[in-house]
Amino acid sequence: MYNILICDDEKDIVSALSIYLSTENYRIFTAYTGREALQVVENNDIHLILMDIMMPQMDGISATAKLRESSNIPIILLTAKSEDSDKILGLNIGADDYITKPFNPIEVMARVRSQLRRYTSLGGMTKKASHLVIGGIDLDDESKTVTVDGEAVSLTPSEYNILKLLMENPGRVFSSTQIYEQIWNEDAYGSGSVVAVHIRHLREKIEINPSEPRYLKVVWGLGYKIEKEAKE
Amino acid sequence: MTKVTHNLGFKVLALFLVVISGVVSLLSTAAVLIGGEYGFYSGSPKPYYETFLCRQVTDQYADHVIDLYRYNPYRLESWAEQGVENFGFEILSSGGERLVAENVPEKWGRTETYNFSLYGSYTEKGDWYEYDVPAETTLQAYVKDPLTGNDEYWLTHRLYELTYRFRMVLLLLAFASTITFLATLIYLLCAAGHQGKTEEIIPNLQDRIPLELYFGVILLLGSLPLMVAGSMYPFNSFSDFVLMLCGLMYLYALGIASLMTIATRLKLGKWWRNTITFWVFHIGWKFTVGVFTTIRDAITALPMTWKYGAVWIFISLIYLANSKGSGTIFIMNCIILVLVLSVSSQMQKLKKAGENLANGNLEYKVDTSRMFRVFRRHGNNLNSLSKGAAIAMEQKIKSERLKTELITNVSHDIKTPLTSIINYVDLLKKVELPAEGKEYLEVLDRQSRRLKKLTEDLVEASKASTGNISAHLVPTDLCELVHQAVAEYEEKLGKAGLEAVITAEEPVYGIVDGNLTWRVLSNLLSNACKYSLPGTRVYIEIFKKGKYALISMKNTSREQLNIAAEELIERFVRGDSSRSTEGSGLGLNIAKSLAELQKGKFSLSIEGDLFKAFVKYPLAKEPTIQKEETVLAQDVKEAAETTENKE
Repeated sequence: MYNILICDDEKDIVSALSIYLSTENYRIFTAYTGREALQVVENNDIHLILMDIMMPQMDGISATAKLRESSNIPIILLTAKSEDSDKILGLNIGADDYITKPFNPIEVMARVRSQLRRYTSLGGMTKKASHLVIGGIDLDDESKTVTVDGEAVSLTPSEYNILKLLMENPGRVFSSTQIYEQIWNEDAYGSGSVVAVHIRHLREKIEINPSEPRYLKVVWGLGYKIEKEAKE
Repeated sequence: MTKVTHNLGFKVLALFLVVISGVVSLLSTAAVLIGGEYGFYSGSPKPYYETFLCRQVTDQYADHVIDLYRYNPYRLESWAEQGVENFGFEILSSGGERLVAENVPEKWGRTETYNFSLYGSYTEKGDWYEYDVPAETTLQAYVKDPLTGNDEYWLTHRLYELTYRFRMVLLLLAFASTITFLATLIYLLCAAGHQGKTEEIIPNLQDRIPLELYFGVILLLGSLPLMVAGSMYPFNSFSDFVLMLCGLMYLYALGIASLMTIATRLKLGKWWRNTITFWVFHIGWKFTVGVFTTIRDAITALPMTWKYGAVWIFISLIYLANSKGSGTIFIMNCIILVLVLSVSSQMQKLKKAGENLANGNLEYKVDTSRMFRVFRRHGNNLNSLSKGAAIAMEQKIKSERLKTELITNVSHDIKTPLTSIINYVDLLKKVELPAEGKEYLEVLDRQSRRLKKLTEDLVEASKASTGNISAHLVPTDLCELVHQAVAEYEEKLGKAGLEAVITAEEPVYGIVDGNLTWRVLSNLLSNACKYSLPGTRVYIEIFKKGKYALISMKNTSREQLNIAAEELIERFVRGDSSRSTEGSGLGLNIAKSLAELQKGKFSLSIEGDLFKAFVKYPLAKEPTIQKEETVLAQDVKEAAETTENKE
């Protein structure tokens, strides 16, 4: 049983989220300003915070900064601001994830689950030699299995090999030709969208929201890459 | 395989052939014509004695005899005995007295009479004795019949006989050589200027020589053998004949060469450009223009005041010269000069102000103090005009910024309640509802999603059209990008019953921002998914055209498109009048704005139900990029190898 704090000045949103999260058996705490949120965290054992940015009496950014001084509980920011600069600011200040309004409740659930798993169960895991770990993705080359945030994902051999290639070289951009030649060991002439389609399937399996991927990114006109871990 | 007209070997061969066949054609045709004259082809050839050959030899010998008789009569006998068996002659005085007679045959085939005058003769001592009255003398020449011995009669007779015997061969030869000559000539003229594998006309060395110079040289070269031939006349021996043949070939070669260069020049077009006359006129024209431009520039460069001053001084000088020192007119002129100068300096100021305004320098102000009333008013108008324009500009910028800000803020404010609506609609789905309620809920769900899409598109459209998005333009492979984009849409295309066909043969590098171009393509693809007829194909083509890289997309519309292509790009316009399908009507507008942000062009066209979109970007130079890519590929291979080694 995890304790989740929902903080938004819009009461309707808070209660909607409360309904969703309580069906998943979380205990819900609510707050309507940043200041209230800080108080709740101080008085209770909170495992995760969902927080709006634009709020009266201390906004979400300031509250996050304040919280990060003393604790490392997962914070997911909710906001109507969709500019890239806002997202970067939020993540730099110490937030773990970012959801833009209007959001899809199912996506919120998934992100909450993911953050909680990483915070609680994966925290103390020791890295083994045969493991490649980037963010929540854990690729075990011995048993040829992949888990995302602790949940097993079933991949086809091609998908597995592509993921392995990209994870071995985090941050490096591979063109689809290079990927094709590496994985299929054939001349890439006329391979067309084969790699692109595989990448998309792969992304659907390892990302919560495939159209806003956290790990497997498209570099338009160049190729694909797995993001190096920005945090931690 | 190069074309026949481009092959150098063929050309050299043809050159030889044309010269030789030309000479042969000329000679054989002449022979055939002469033969015809002498009845070769009508069955009854004239006897040798009646031909010009016989006559020519006779004339030649007679000339010689007359010469000898005049100056060296004692050598006549020995000459006659030396192998001119067939030529006999007697020299008769005016009275009919026979002076000399040699070799007069018993039977002759031809006889000629030559009259000549003797002005004197050598005495036996060797002195010259001149007659008082020239002695009229006659030479009667005889040609022996039948011919014996080896003199020129015999030779020419042989030639005549041979010609007769081979008259049919000659006729054939004349035909064949003439046809060969014409054919090779036509081939050469066609081939002139062609070489290598290109279809271009390439001038060779002789085509570059100016036309007049070329023909001058050709005429000079052509007249050389004629001069030589003139000095050699009359032709006596076989070697002369061979020389003549060579000369003829030489003339032919010159003629063909000049024909070929004319052909090349005509094919090149503007043949007159390569003539000395043209050069002379061209240089002359340039020079004149240059002089005039310099003078004009010098005058324009002068400040207006000085120009008027100079003109006025010039005019008053003429007056002064005409009026022969009339002082009052001169003083009046001086006063007018001062006035003119002041007017022109004021006009100069106004002109400068106008130019500044036209160049967008709205800060510029004219100093209107110390101006005539009319000019001051004009100056003041200019000043207020610049002020007004500056204010208008500022307002426009401000309002654009405000508009974007407003749209962004409003959309933020809309998003919060929208989140609640979407969430509660979703929650409501989990509640037991009567059938009608479920139907209504469906509508709520659909419309709330549309509202969400609309707000997102609205912000993007306003940012894109006001240029609030920065574009990082780098050379990018558009083929790769299109493949990636289509892969992203694979599922949606499949759901819409569409198949994407991508045509791209090689990497096409455009200078674009990858992210923005993806959004352009994304808008186009989502458009195709929404409005295409299921079961049709979407054709995407990437190609180069001039300095541009183009992406074209064609899909078949589901509904009839009763709308102009330009109208579709406008905001909130959609192809289906019923507006029943999802979509904000902003997609194409956003795509256009985003393409323009990247210095590209976006256009649409509609042909029946075929909807075509074109995106055009500046083309990047590729070699450097390709190099980088190969380096990258090597890196990757090395990296892969090292990881393998580790394992």
